Amino acid sequence: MDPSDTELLAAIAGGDRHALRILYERHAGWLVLRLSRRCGDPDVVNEAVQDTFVAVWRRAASFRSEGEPAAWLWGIALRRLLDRMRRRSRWEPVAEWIQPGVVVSAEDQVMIGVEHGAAGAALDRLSPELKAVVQAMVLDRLTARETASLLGIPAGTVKTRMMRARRLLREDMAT
Amino acid sequence: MTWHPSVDAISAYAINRLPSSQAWSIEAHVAGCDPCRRGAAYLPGPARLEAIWEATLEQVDAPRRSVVEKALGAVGVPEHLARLLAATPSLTVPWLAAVTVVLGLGLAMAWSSAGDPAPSARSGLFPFLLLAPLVPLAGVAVAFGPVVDPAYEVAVASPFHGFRLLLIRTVAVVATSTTVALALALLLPNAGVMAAAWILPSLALASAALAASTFVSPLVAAGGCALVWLVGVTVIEVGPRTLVAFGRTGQLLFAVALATAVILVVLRRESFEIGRRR
Repeated sequence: MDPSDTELLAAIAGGDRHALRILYERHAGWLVLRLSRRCGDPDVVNEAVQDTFVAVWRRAASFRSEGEPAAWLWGIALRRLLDRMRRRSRWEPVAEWIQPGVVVSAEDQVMIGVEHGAAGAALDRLSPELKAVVQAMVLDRLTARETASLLGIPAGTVKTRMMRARRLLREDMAT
Repeated sequence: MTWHPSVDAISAYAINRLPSSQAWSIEAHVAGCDPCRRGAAYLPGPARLEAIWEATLEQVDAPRRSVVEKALGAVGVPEHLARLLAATPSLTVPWLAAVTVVLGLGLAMAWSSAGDPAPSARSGLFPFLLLAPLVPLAGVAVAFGPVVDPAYEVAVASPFHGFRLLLIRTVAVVATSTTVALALALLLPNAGVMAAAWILPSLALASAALAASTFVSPLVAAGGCALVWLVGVTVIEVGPRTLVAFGRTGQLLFAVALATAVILVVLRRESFEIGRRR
C-alpha cells in the first residue's frame, strides 16, 4: 500500500530523502503545469518548483496533519513563484491566453458547462488582461499587491481591472 | 466525485489551449483529485522534471546558508557571490574576533600610558599604529590562495573573472577590517589626528601585498610587506617614539606607495587569472 502524502511529509520531516522523491514524483508535474498558467517564463516556473521542494524538505515538520498536503504544497508553490517574480529585474509576460483549436470531448464540455454555465461563458469573453487579474485575485486569492507583482503591473491598475471585470461579468450575465 | 476530466482535456490545459472557464474547472478538480494529479504528473516531460529535481537535491544537500550569507543576500548580493564572500576566511566572525583582540591589546597599551605627561604619552599610541595596518594586510593574505582558502575550489569554478573576483573580495576584506580598526581607534586616548594615522599605511600595505603577489605567492608577498613595515617603522621610531613615521612626510610616502601599488596591480592584472597564478 502506497504511503499517503501526509505520511510522506512526516517521513520527510525525519530527514527521509526517498520520501521527498516520492512526493516530488506525485506533485511536481502538476505544480509545473499550474504555475505555468501564471508565469510565462519556464525558467521562473522551474525555480519556483525547486524552491517549493527545498522548502518542503526544510519545513515538512510545520505541516499540520489535519491539513490537505496538496493544498499546502500549492500554497508554498504560489508564494515561491511570487518571490521569484519579485526578484526579477524585468518582467516576463504572463503566459499568453491563446484559445483557438480547443480539443475537448463533448462529454467534458457538458460537465464543465454544468459546473460553470453562464458564468463560464461570460468569463471566456473577458479580455486576456482582465482574465489574468480575475485568476490571480479570485482563483488564487492573492492580494492586489501580490497580483501586481505577479503580472508586472501597478497595484492601482490591478484594482481598476478587477472592477472592470466585475462590471463586465455582471452585465454579461444579466442579458 | 464521479466525473474526471479526460486526458485530452488535461493535455489541452497543459499547453494552455483551454478557455479560462474550462481551465479553472480542471484546476479546481485536479487540485483535489489524487488520481488526476498523478495522471498529469508526467505532462511537463521527464527531462524538465529531472532537471528541477537535480537542482532541488543540490540545494537540499548544500549547507544551510550562514547568517552573513543571508544578510548579504537580503541586501541584493547575488547568491554565488554571497557564498563566496561568506566563505572568505578573513570575513568570518572568528577572524574579526581575533582582529579585535589584537587591536584591543594595542588599545590597552595606549590607555595604560595615557596618564604620562606629554610628549611621551603619544608614544603610547605606537603599538596600535604599528599593528592596525597589518590587519587588512593579513586579511588579504588569508583571503587568497589554496593554502588557507576553503573557497578556493568555489573561486576556481565561479563565473567571475579572476581579477574581478579579487577586487570584490579585497574590497570586502579591507572594508570590514578597516571598520573594526576604526571603531577601536575612536577609543584611543588623546590621539587627535593620530587616531586616523594608520589608515593610509594600511591601504598602502594591502595594495603593496597584492602588487607583490603578482610576482610571488600571496603568503610570501604579505609576509614580506609585513616584515618591511615592522622593521622599517621600528627603526625609524627607535629611541623616543615621536611617531614621526606617521607624520606629514610619512603619510605622503604612504600615499605614493599606495598609488604605485594600485597602478602595478592594474597593469599586472593578467597574473590574477586563475590557473596562471603561482
